[in-house]
Amino acid sequence: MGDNENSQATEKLKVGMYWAASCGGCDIALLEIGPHLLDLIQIADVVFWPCAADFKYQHVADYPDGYIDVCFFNGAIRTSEQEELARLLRKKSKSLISFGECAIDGGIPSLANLKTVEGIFDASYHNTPSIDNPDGVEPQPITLVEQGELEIPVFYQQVLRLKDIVQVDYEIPGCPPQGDRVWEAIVAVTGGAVPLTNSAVKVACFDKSVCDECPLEKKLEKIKEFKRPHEVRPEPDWCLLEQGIVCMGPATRSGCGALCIKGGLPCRGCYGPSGTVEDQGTAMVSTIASLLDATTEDRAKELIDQIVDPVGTFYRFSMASSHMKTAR
Amino acid sequence: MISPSGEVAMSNSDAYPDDEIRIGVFICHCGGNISDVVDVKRVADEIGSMPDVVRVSGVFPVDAPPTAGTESSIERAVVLSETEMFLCSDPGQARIEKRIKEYNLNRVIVAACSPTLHEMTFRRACARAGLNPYLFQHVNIREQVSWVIEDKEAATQKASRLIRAAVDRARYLEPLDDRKIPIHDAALVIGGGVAGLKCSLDLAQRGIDVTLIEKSDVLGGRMLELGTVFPTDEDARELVGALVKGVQENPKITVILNADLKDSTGSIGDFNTTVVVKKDGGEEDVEVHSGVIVIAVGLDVYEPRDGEYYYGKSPAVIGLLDLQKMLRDNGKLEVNGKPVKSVAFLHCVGSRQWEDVHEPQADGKINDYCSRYCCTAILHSAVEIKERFPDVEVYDFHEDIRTYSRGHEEIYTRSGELKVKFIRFDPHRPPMVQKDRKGEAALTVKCRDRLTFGEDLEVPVDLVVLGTGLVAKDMTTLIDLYRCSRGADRFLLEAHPKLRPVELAAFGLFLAGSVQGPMDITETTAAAAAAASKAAALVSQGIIELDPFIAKVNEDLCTGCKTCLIVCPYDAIQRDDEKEIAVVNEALCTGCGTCVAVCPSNAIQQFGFNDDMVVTEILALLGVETNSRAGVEAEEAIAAV
Repeated sequence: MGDNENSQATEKLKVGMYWAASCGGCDIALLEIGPHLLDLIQIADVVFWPCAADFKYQHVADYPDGYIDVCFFNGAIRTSEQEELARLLRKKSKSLISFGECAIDGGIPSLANLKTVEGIFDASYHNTPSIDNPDGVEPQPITLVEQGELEIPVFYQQVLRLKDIVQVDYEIPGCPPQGDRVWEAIVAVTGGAVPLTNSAVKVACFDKSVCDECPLEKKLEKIKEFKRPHEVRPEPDWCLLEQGIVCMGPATRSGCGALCIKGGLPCRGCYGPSGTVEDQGTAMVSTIASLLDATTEDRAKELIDQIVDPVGTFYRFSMASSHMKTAR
Repeated sequence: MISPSGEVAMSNSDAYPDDEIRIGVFICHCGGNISDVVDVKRVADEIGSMPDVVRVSGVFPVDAPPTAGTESSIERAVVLSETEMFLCSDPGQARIEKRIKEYNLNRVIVAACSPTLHEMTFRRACARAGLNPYLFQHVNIREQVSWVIEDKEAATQKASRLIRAAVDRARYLEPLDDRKIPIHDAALVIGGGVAGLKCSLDLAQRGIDVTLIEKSDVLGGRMLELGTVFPTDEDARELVGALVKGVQENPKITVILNADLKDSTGSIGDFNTTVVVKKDGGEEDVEVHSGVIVIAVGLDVYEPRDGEYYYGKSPAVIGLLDLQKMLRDNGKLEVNGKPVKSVAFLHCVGSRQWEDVHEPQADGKINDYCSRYCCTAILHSAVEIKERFPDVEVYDFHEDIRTYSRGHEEIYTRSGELKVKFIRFDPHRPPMVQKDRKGEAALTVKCRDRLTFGEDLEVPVDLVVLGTGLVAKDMTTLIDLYRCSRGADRFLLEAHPKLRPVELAAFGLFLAGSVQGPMDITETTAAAAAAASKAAALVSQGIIELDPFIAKVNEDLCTGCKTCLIVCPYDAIQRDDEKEIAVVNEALCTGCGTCVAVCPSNAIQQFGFNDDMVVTEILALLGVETNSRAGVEAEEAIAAV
């Protein structure tokens, strides 16, 4: 790793990884390719990866346009700094890849779109018991001090996806993406099996939904009661959704190998919408609605009311791709 | 393309390439019905100047049909927006055909009346001009615009918006073919009562082989239990006997008695029904192959609960059918060998019930509907008693009297002439029947009479006849096999009460008679004849064409998750276990779209209503110009800081 100026870099690919509004899990997930990291270093030089090595933005700015062959970008766009880096990396990269759900569909950070900026600031800086802020100070993009202007990034009205800002070539879904799949995608992109430039094509996953990889069986029964995973010991081998445990599998892209379900938990939807679906939440709502064991409106309401935090459940990873847009 | 000079090439696919989307928009005046409110010429102009949508021709004055001269007002190519006084007229249709050929149009939009009225007219016009009829899109600017909006400006804007949406949608239209389903030339009729008998006879008369299956060991159904029937005073058993004889003598009809439905597979044109037949102490399965199925299983008579109006506690409280039997078989009116001197009839027993007054039935619901036959049946019996036993006092306790059918009012009038005494009760305070404590008669009926403004009456009578209503049969097997819809009254529901009154929603299945709801014999036979006629019309076509708007599974996206199997109301989806995907049965699919909506992977699309069409149409209706909101939103979000 490190600077490539003096290596035989002309033949080796140059790769980058950046994080924006995300938890850092994607950086770890990239490490999850395990021994393949060594293979990666054989074929590529890392020219930007702030989480792993000391690169400055200025390094990137100094690169010629298109210098980076493949740049992985994880995290959503919430601030002007993230937008700036997105635009910069787009300019400097031949292939820009959204890595993980935050960059693709907003991820968990985009649940903040359910609140206005005012609401978020209120909770963050004023009305939380642990906050001590007697002067009611809020961060300001520009602060005047004796020495001049201090600048911090601007906080945007809503969480955006990478593709809302710049053109994206590929998307590797998941929260985080699974290591084996990621390595396959890296091989495909770096090995020239697919063109470097494309239009947000999803890789390291499949078009079908998680049900395709799920080992559980349906009994063709309707949902009689909703229960949360901790409230019940599910019957083995039987579809969790039919047992009343909200499982996002039917509305979620496959590729993970149904990991959570095999571990006894329902799918949380972290690979985003499947197939050609744009809005994962409405896809799941229409599915669940038609599976209710209810013939009257009252009964349907009674059942629906048992679902705790429906928006947070159905859009846990994809609020920025929702047709509901944002709170205003 | 069209030359700027405006010269129009005729039938020239060089000038108008096939791979270009070329939409002709025709706007109808409907002789003023539309154009008096909607400024159709302005709409045509607006459509003609849509972005990305280019226009062939100017708007032609209605009174001056297009000539070579007006056609030279061509601006650009591709959308042709024209108005016409009556597009459905022969010249109107001819113009559409001419334009299709002239401009090599590959999409046609007509903005006119409701598609129910003329969609097929224009599809056929397209087909005559060599255009696939499903490249046609209908827009309703009469029932949905000019007839319901007074404000001319608002109406014009709405018409324009609706047509714009149709233009955007039309880009995604695809040529489709009708489904062609062969119909096996035979019918299965389920139920050997008056409806099934009448229906079988009518079908056989049209040359169709009929298999008539009946659960019991005798044909005739409920009519076998009746005496004389209104309004003709004929003997019920004689009437139905004539039908039974006709059926038994008809070589086209095969009757299977003691037959129970077991299984049914297939769909319109090709049903295979398995029937269990009890025979000589054993059972055997019989297979019936038919192109159509008529359901004529009839209904049950309401059985009062133990103690309801003293029923079951006293032999002097009986139902209407019991009375019929007594009058018919004994020729005497007596209870326990003692002549009856006074009779009380009670209306609405088991019908028109009220939530707070009556106890619910086994399924938790009350019978809030009217059973329709009982008012006339009660008065008919009252008249019979009065005529045969003039000394017997007859009391009629009713909530309302509904003798609505032809010849029924006369029975009501006659009962008045015969001095039947009418007492009207408040539905919230139905009469009470109890043992007569004074010993004058067997029973006393207590009631507050609304006709005498609330007088509390106690009427001693020797016999109480309950006007028991009609209830739906337990039809679990039927409903499971044929996915029938039931109304709140538990009777089977027709596809549409006016437009498809004797059909189930699933194709090839018909309803005959009182399986659909309470009917008297007259109505039942009329309904059975209607069902026979509809079923025969279908069978005699040999092949039927069904519209192509059915669901189709995308094998690349389907995971075989079975969600669609659970929701399909017609059992039209099966799972291919080998490929692990869902498969739609084209003959069973009605194109309801339920599976399309529920599929969480968008793996099911409906022909004629795919996502591109629907989303584009919605966006156009909402006035959203672009499909991609991303760029706009990013700018908004950033600008808002």
